[in-house]
Amino acid sequence: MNLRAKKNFQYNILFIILYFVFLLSFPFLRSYFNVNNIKVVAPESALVAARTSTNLVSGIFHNIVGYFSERKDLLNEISYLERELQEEKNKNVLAEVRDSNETKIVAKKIFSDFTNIYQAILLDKGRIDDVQEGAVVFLYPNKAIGIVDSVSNKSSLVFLFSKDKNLVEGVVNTKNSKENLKSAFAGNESAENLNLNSTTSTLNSTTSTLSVTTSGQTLTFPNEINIDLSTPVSSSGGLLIEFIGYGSGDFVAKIPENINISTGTIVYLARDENKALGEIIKIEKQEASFHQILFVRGYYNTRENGDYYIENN
Amino acid sequence: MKMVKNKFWRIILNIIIVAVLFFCIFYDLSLSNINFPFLTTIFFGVFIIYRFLKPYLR
Repeated sequence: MNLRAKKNFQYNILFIILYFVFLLSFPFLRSYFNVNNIKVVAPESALVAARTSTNLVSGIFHNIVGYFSERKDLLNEISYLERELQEEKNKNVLAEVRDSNETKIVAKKIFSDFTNIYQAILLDKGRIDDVQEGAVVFLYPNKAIGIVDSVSNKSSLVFLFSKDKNLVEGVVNTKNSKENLKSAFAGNESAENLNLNSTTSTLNSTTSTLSVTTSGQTLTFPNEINIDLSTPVSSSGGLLIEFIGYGSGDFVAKIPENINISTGTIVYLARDENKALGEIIKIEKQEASFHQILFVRGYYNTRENGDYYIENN
Repeated sequence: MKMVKNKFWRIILNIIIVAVLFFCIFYDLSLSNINFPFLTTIFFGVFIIYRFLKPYLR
């Protein structure tokens, strides 16, 4: 390397160092330069004007930075609208609370388990705010998502219904649930004779591998989830089905194949039938078996940033 | 050796380059909604690549 090349190389290194110094100090310099600028959410008209700017140079620059600036403005606007929406929801729920004697507590999510996001969340209301263990946590207006497991003074741990292998009882209201029951349990003369603790209603199959009983014969599920094959029993006109949390926000249930349920049906929580548990998104009928598998999508959204409502029993 | 042989025009060229650099820096600083000096980066990139590649351009 001759002297001139060496000098050039040194200059290049110097320029790169200077550039990185500038790069690292840029945020501070920028805030110093823009100390008097007040950031406001740009209205839609301004964005359109920026987009359709006729000045070529400024147009190019706006196109380069426009993506970032518009994105930021739109994100601001989204968060603003979400806030507004949340306030509306709160108003509605609080009005309901005033009308009824029920106690609903508004809470915010502090933390969710990142390793298993559909398992547990931590809410910021606790014993001081009168949260009790076993209270149902729901989203506006009636989407039940979990149950308070333990309460400390200022926080409460909520186990989601969709927790892996968690059992939750749901009710499906079908139009002809009684007829369904009748066809499902051919051994029984009338569906009215069925009750929750009935052990006599059995669906006897010719194959020895499967028999549906209320006493709960545990069968091995394909994905090594043990499903206690539950018998649907009428509960205020609906079918009572035991769902199992699938660990991904979904629930599954195994029911006899004779019961007609269509996708899109809303599943309600058995302990409080005003609260929806999820929506049936898929029904899987397996060949040469006497059951069908329901897949239910729960309402918990990991990006849900709004308020959670806790209803004490 | 030098691209611009005349010393006067070389000085003028250097002044223009520095002026453009300052323009880039202050334009970047004047934008309130970016966190990264795009224009300066482009300028430095072009400048340094040019300096690195200059021996091979001839």
